[in-house]
Amino acid sequence: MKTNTLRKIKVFWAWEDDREEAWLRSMSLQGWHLASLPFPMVYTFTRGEPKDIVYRMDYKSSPNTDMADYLSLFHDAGWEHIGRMASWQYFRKERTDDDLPEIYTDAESKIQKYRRLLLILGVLSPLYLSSTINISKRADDPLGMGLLIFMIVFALFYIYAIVRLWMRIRELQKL
Amino acid sequence: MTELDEIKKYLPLSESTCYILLCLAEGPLHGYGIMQKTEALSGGLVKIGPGTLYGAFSVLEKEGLIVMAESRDRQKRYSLTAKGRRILAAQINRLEALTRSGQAVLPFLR
Repeated sequence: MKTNTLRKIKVFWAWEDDREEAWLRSMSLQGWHLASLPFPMVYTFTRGEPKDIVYRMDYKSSPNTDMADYLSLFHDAGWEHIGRMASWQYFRKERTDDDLPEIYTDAESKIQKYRRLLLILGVLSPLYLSSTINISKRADDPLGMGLLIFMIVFALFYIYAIVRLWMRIRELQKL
Repeated sequence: MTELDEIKKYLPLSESTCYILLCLAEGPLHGYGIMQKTEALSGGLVKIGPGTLYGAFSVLEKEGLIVMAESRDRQKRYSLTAKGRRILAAQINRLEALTRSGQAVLPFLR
């Protein structure tokens, strides 16, 4: 018997949204269409006809009080909203001509998307730093030490993410 | 703020912003109306995606260049403010100067 649903766990970094979108499109081309995003990093797919469906992710950091207005703009333009993962909103649209459908049609607005994400990371970093310093004060016991190492490793990832996002913005600014 | 300061602050407008304001010049429109009209006016050359439009709406509204005219059936219609009209007019004049100079040098580019 053929299964009709598929669950996949996959990790994408915040600066890799292009790669994630391409992966979702390739799944649809094989007949697996994104159905829901139940948890972070978890994707569920349902089987259907293989179709060229283009996926686009938007980073929405503004309060969701205007969610209806926001979604109706996408809906009117023919985009189906599938769900969200953290502040990332997932949309899709079937490709009907040579051009790939886009939700951001100029470099400047696409840069703004990454700037919003960068801003959130920037706002959170002092919080993270202060809690790391607090933990370092009790690094003499093994639990505290373990936690500190974990937090330092995470902080390195954090810095790496900021650098990569910043590089992404620079790349778009050259267009 | 004098009119000149205002113009300095906003100009040049991006192509998308130009089209959004241009679409509203004759009367209020909702988001999808702007997307369709932009594509029609530019002969399919310029498209405005919903992500770009959403961002533009919030900035233009915050800066007082557009204002929500009415909200019906989850469709907000926006119209140009007096400030929006002034800035769009200034941008068009600026583009006109560019086009005029451009036309003059065009024979040398061929």
